[in-house]
Amino acid sequence: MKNNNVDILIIGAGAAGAAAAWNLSKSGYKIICLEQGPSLNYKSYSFSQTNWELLKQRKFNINPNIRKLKSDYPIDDRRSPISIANFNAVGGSTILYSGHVPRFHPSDFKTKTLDGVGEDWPFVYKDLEPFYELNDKMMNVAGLVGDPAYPPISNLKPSVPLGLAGKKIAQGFNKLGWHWWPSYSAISTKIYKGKKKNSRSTVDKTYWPLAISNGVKLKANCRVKKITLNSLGNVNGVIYADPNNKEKFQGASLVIIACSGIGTPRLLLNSTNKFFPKGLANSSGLVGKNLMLHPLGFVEGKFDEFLGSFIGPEGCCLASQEFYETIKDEKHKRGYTMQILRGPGPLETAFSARKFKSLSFGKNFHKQFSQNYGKTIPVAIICEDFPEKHNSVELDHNKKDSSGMPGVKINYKLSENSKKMLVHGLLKAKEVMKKIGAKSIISFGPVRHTGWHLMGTTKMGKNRKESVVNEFGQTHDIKNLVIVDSSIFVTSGGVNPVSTLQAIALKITSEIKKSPNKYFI
Amino acid sequence: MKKKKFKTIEMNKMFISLVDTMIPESKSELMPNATKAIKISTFLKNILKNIKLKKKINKVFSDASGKNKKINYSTLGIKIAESKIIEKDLEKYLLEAYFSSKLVQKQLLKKTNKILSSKKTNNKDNQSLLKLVKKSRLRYKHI
Repeated sequence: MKNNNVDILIIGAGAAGAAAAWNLSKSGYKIICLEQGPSLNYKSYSFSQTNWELLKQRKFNINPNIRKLKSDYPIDDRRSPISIANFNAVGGSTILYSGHVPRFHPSDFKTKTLDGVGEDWPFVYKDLEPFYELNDKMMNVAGLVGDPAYPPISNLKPSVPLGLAGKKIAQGFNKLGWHWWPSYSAISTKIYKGKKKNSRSTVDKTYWPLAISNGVKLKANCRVKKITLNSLGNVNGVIYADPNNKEKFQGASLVIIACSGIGTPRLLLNSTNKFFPKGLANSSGLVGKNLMLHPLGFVEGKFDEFLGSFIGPEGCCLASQEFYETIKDEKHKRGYTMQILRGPGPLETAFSARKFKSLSFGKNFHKQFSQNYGKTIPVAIICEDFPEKHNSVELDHNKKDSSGMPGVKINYKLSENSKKMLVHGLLKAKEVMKKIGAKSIISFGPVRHTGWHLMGTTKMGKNRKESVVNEFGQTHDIKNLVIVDSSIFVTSGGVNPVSTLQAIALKITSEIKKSPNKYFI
Repeated sequence: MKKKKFKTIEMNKMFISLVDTMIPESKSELMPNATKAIKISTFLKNILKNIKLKKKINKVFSDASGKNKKINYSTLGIKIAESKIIEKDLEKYLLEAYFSSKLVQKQLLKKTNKILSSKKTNNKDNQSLLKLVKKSRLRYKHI
């Protein structure tokens, strides 16, 4: 009988899975990646389509409970003020992300030592730095050298334009003497390798084509339902539903999970057996615990002049990290990034103006629309979150996905520290808006539909009783089971996590190449 | 009173004047009216999928036409638009169709480019803006 076993099986073809697959390719291993979502045509999710604003509300809605695609799984987030956002496909959530890819600060890896909150990571910024650099290169990251908020970062592509809105708010930061810097964006600022200028670097276009050409087999529409063990308690493969929803077994010597802070604990909790009745690799009881989400505040200033704020990178043209680290005598510890977002497109502008009664139908429709369009500057306040056991992911056996696998329930509460930080951020963002003459300002938080950043649910650490994986991404309980996604984050930082999670995936997979005996049975 | 049933062609006529009253052409703003941007038959087909809304539209149109045997459907559409009686029900459909149309997006881009070209800025502006922050203190801790 033909042996279809592979050396390495990667579950999930998103940001982390793609980086892992590419880094392990060309190393002589037989590698397969199983992805529950489809492989999409780039044109179908391009932000430059005329009906993009409509697609964002439907097929490409960030909320899986609204999309309800076959590839999605039910997420009951009623017990959380923040709903979960993701996308399941080859490319994962990078299909819909804004491409804003700042790094963590060195202090993010030492919050316990420096500020007495959260926990220290088992490695430091310096250990991750070469992998950040490699990832920046692979993801074609644009930015500007010389940022006083970071140790030197080089080899960046030309930075994204600030636009009129960016320049306006930069003046405000300057007046206040606060930090700001053009954003780090995975956006092609020049034409390269056939990629269009101004297109986002999604991993289906960066890492995956290279990994596939190096021999990695990628199978879309294949949902892994369980990870299986042999009689000795080592991983020997997975059971998955193929595109026709037929259950199949795929044998593997090493399994790498890259399913995000929600998908990874879901899979582990569903993979119970005699060795692990509470879920695979869950002897610590921490699988699914310590969920961190980045509570987000929103401030929008409206101006008299036209700023064309709907043009430019969706995620961020510039960011301020003036209040990123702990400020002496403030009521909260650690801090946040103020991220200048792209203004709303025409449809969102019209909806918002109708809601706030500044747009009426009839003869004044166009005049009033022009008074709203391109005249706002939105700011997101991304607050650092800390691990708390009661913030968790658990299986929901009452709601199942298209292949019969249980969905998940989210339990999440904002900590007192997050609440205070959010208030601080909202006030500071309003201060800068006032400084540049905003005619009106709206502010609120936490914003519900912003749960993109899913971290901490299979935490990394040196102590096996207080963490799920070690610093090499290996589960403490099972030698040949590795996790490389943001679920292994120890703390959350106060920036978008994608650059850090990809750097970690590269670091861990480099370790697999360097010391295979550590991982393989 | 027995409700009048409208033929598709009558419905189309009413809707053309209804949506064009809601979103008229604006020469000064370079923007087209609703029916220049959207295909009314597709638009109508889309909203009539909503059974509740379909019933409401039929009732509103029927009530507005009264007992008149000779109905001017265009006038009727204007009258309904001005009464705002189904404005709330239609606005989502209309705004989505209008602002997703290629013509509207083309016109918006034209307007935007016109304004931006009059406010041309260059990289030198960025450099002068960055001068202050470049010289400022470090915002991260050396570990």
